[in-house]
Amino acid sequence: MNALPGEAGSAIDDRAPKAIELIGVSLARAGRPILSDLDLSLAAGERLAIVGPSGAGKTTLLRLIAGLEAPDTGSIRIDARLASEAGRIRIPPHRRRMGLVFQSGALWPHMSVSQHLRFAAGRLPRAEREGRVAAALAACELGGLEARYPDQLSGGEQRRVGLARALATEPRWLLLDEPLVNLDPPLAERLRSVIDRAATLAELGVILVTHDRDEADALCPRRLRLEAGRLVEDR
Amino acid sequence: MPGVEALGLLGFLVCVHLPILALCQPLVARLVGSPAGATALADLAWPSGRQLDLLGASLEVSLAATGMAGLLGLLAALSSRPRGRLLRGLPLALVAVPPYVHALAWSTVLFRVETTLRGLGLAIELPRSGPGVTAWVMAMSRLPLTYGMAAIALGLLPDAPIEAARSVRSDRAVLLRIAIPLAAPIAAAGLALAFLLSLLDYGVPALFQVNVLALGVFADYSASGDAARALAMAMPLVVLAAGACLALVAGWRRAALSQPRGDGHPTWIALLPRGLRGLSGLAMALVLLQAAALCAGLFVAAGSPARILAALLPARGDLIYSLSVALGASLLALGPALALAGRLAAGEGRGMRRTLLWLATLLPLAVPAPLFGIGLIALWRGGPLAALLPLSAATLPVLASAGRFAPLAAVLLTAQLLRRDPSLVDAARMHQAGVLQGWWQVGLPLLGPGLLAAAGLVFTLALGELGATLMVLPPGRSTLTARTFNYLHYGASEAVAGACLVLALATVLVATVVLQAFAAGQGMARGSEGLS
Repeated sequence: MNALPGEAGSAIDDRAPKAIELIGVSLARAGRPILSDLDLSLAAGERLAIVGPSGAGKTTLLRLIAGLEAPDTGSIRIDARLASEAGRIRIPPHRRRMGLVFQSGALWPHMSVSQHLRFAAGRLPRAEREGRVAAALAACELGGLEARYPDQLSGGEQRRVGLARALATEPRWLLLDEPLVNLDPPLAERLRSVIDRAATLAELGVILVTHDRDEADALCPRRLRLEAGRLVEDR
Repeated sequence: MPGVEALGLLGFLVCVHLPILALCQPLVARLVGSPAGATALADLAWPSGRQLDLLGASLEVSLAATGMAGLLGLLAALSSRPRGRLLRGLPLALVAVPPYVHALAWSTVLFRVETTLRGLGLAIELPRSGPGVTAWVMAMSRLPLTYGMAAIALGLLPDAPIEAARSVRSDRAVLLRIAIPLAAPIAAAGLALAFLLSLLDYGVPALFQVNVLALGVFADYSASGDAARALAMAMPLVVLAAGACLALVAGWRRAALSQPRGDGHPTWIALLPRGLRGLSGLAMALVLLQAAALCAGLFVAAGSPARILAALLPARGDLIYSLSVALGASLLALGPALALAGRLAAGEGRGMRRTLLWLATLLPLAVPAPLFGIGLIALWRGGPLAALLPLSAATLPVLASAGRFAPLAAVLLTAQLLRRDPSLVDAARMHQAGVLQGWWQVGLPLLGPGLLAAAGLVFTLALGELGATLMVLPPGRSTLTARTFNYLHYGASEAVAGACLVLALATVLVATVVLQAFAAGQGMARGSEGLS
């Protein structure tokens, strides 16, 4: 076990209920370990940045928490419920109340901006659904772009649509996979402030994957460093 | 949805593998049952005497046709002209036109050329039968395939490694050491498929009076009705075709996994020496000429549109049955092909299991079409499945086409699945309200063009399917293809030419839709990656 929760300097209050808890999580691909025996816990509403070099296992860790992959060993609990265990996902991704912003954008080419958000808002009464869509559009400063398709948007707009889609699910956690990578500094700064404001307003927990320490420090008080699939720093 | 996938895989097993197993059953029973019977079958499987001659003729014709089609196809694909997508795509749309339609068109062209020459005082007799003209017609009918696969191979060549190599080595070295090795597996897959199809085809050789082993097997079964004997006789063909399938596995996996480059000017064009560019231009002209020969030959033979219509009216029952069979086969093949494609795509990067899965997909292509039909008869007429699920005889041609072409649909869908940006599906899994909603609103639209292309591929191939259909056609029913093939033996008439022309135009039309759908699917599968 190489996790360091509760050590001096850790942002976690051990008395707080643990909203997300990873216990002894490992994952390998084609015999190569990606994550090794990882322990981690996060309290509700906490903000955590995961940093580390390329290939350290940052995105894989995010995907395990999101429920897109199951660990080989260990377990993941969300609000004390068993969400994933060795080789098995017990709570599917869309039932975890998490919104994921993908590094590639992952916008569906056949859907307009508003269709993305309606899809994410799910099966709700029409008024409630449209309210969610409007709130997500406003939070991400996408007013006027509702009818556009992904290929009609700039890179920064696409990132904001990805964020708005995640917010439209009314998640409790926002999972961000390198959300600011490859953006010009002014665009990155604008998107950072949009993320910060949206997360603060909705009191969301945030897990940010990045290789940029400044970006991590600007959004998250707690920082976790991964190297070769092992947790080497948690402060 | 694991239950649905399991059902699809079961469908593939029933449609594709069970007829082959049913075909093998009497052979195994005979081999195990009596030593004398086993010896006789072993003698048949190890060709000698006339069978060896037939195998020699099969190899001679198919190797010559593959060589010609391969060389011309590669040279034409190297040509940078014509630049228009329509003209460059036209030969590809001919890929599913049945070989015997080419045979009719070329017969007409050769006859007209001979008549014209005679009118000019040149009494040159052009060959109208024999291995030479058979190989030529086979080569022309496979040319769209070899050209298409070579064009795909070159189209998938990435620019960056070639540019990097050009900075350190001569163009000749880069062409020989980088570009050709990178393109070779996919182009070789085209050659392997052309060889396989030519080796197993007996239609064109029969029309040009060349006896090949596939024709011998068909004739022997027609006379004896002995499935074990037919399979034993066909064993050399199956072994050779299985070898071609192994080449297909490597090439098609590479094609499925490669990302297409953009529409910009490809880097490899600059590597071609001047002489080769001239030759490639000539080859491209020949590719377009054979497309023109096909159309002109059929138009000339068919006469006026009124005559074509008059010829078609009596055959409208066959036409409707053909379309129903093709539609039924395309719908039936889709589910099993999609389920298998899901497994093939998921199995990427897992060594032996992946290879076995690809072999299970492609090896059925090595079974000659008449033998597949015989397997279907064994399975559904009196076999155990017939009792469990009694089917009307009119549905057997549907099963024949679905079973023969589902592997190709699976390969095409695998390519589509492997090129799909996985984050698009992950995003749906994260943000969907339920699994069905995610599949309906995201999964299906992303796969839609691929499904349309796969259905269209099976439809066009089923329209021209002959070998297995002839074996399983119920009394009193005929497909347009079967009727046309039977008519051809009495000499080309306007009625036959009219039917062939309609068949060719229908095939080209559907093939064009398939190509457009697949191209659209490539764009959609990549999602928003790299936009703006």
